[in-house]
Amino acid sequence: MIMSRVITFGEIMLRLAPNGYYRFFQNDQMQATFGGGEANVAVSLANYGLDSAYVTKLPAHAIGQAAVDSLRYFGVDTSRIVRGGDRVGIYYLEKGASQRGSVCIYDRAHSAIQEAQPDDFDWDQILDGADWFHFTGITPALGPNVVEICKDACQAAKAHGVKISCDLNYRGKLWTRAEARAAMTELCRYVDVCISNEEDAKDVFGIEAEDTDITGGKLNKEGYKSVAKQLMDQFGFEKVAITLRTSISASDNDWAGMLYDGKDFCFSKEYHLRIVDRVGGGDSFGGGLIYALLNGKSTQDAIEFAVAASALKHSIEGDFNRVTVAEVEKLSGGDGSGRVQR
Amino acid sequence: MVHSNPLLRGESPQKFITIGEIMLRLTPPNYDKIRVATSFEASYGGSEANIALALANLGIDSTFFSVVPNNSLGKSAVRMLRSNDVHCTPMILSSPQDTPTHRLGTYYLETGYGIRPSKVTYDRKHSAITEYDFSRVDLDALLEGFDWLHMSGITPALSPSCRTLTLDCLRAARAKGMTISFDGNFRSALWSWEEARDFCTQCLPYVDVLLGIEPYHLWRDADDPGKGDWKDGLPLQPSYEQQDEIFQVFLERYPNLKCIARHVRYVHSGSENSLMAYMWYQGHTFASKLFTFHILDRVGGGDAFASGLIYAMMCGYRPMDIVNFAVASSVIKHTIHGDGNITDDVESIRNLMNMNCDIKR
Repeated sequence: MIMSRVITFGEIMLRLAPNGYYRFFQNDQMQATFGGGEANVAVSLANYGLDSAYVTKLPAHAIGQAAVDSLRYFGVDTSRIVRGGDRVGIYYLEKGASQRGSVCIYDRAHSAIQEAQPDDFDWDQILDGADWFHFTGITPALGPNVVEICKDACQAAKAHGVKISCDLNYRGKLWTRAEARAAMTELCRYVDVCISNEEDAKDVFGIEAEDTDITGGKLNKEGYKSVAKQLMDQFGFEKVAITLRTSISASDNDWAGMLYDGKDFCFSKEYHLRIVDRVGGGDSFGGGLIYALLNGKSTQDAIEFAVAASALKHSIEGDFNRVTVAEVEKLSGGDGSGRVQR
Repeated sequence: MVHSNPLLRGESPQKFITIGEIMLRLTPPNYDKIRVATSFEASYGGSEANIALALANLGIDSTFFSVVPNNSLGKSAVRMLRSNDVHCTPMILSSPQDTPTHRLGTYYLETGYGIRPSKVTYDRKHSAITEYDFSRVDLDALLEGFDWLHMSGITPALSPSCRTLTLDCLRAARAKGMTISFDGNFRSALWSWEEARDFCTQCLPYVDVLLGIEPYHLWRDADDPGKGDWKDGLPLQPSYEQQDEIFQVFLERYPNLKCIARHVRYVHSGSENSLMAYMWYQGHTFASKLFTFHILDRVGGGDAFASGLIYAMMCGYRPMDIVNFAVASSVIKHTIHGDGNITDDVESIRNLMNMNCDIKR
């Protein structure tokens, strides 16, 4: 079998987090890892054995190199990363527990990718031979220049017959709803597979589920079907995936997903999660979904795989989902016992 | 609010204030390279903050003024200074409206070992202090009640507004008759040598205590720069006579200068250096002892020289004791992790200053 080639594009940041559950600067140690929506997807896919390449712009200095190293470790192809600019974006993460939510402080303004220009990237060359292109709504949120770069990438992907997936991922700290709607309306014209949750659909496109109550702790299946259908009707997506998170506390979430292929609405089973690290949870869903769809899984099997992959991610420290296909399939196949495997 | 430190006895001889940038410093542990680091030690530093911290530890009434973003990073910087007994009352915790990028300057420090030098990677552009509009600050009120102002050539290197701030502070302090110390502290990552020399030379007429002899113009002929600078050709480790000559040219041009001091570093390796200093004060040039020592962390060594000198002058030490105390203060700093000279007993520095630390051959 020929290995599918996936290109993801976005920003990778240095993540600085106090040890364990310390509050910011309660002690002087900061755990240093790297992460970012599309980079996390690239790592997931490399771990599943795909030919996975990540595209961004990073400074030539040691911190930029450390970011590259973190991806190469998993076998992500970093040869398309453009080097230049001054800054690696940073995000500070204070992990919440129980009723204390996690806190994220962004220090990402003026990063190399935010200041990148369209002519930094030759998309015809980058996407040549690729099967899939993935980005998220975080990338165009970096600025109008990056919206342009995303548009260039999408147009080249279309020209090369490359499938495009996008996770709407609205970040209110980066842009306004109006800005997001304008840019994402433009970009979603090119997208084949849309990933969203209820809040993103509302924040970006004003699409609301009828009769849902996110704090009520109960899934309203009809509401999610309505969101998926509205998204598909508006943009002509081939598939729409919705993640369904019920936040009981910072430590306990319920987690499920739904995939709509224009015909069937397939809901996954629901997992009760005891959270180790939820950052990158949505990205691991995206990674699982892309893998499943590239491998011809049925709509039901694809959503089961994506949700199981993501459930496992919530048990893993750091942004990256360090799991194999076999581990995901074991869980999606029914073994959620968490017993020691010998 | 009346401020007193129960750990320290006696009255502060003078009230000290310094203005500059404080940054988050991220250092991989165990001399690790940044590329392999899985964690960083987070601490805070910055030339002026280091001096404020060192003086507060020695029992001086010490205040720091800066702008930091009003988030956990900025507040933690304030907390670190407060825990070292530095007054942060005037500090501005800015909103995103005040400082749009809303960031605390950061720098990464890869600690060298032996022949591998330490490496600083700055990530301080667009920091809060560079974006703040200082026309909103009443500098006259800020400096009211203080005896001594210290500033460095790092602040004007940060942005045009910080350049204005520097000169405005120097002028305001001069008008109040405060003692002003200034450390040129050239940082090539922030501005060019020519820019630095042009600007810092403008600061000289306001200075009482000058730390370091660069970056300043000291033209042989002001009308013809082609004839060169008096400092051209001055070796990194000048002789007493060579240094005295330069001091005399400074004094001739800038009769406002009451003291000029510069330390001289001999680098045997990244882990072993020697330090001595020259100081002109009260009509004479003095040479300190030479101290040789092993280095744990050399960042902030120059700042500890400055804080030692300022402390000794405030306390009315004799000239030879001032210059030896300044060098001893810097030497002790080299044995302490982090930017700051966290030495709270004066006697430990005095003991060192009285020791014979010349290289034994």
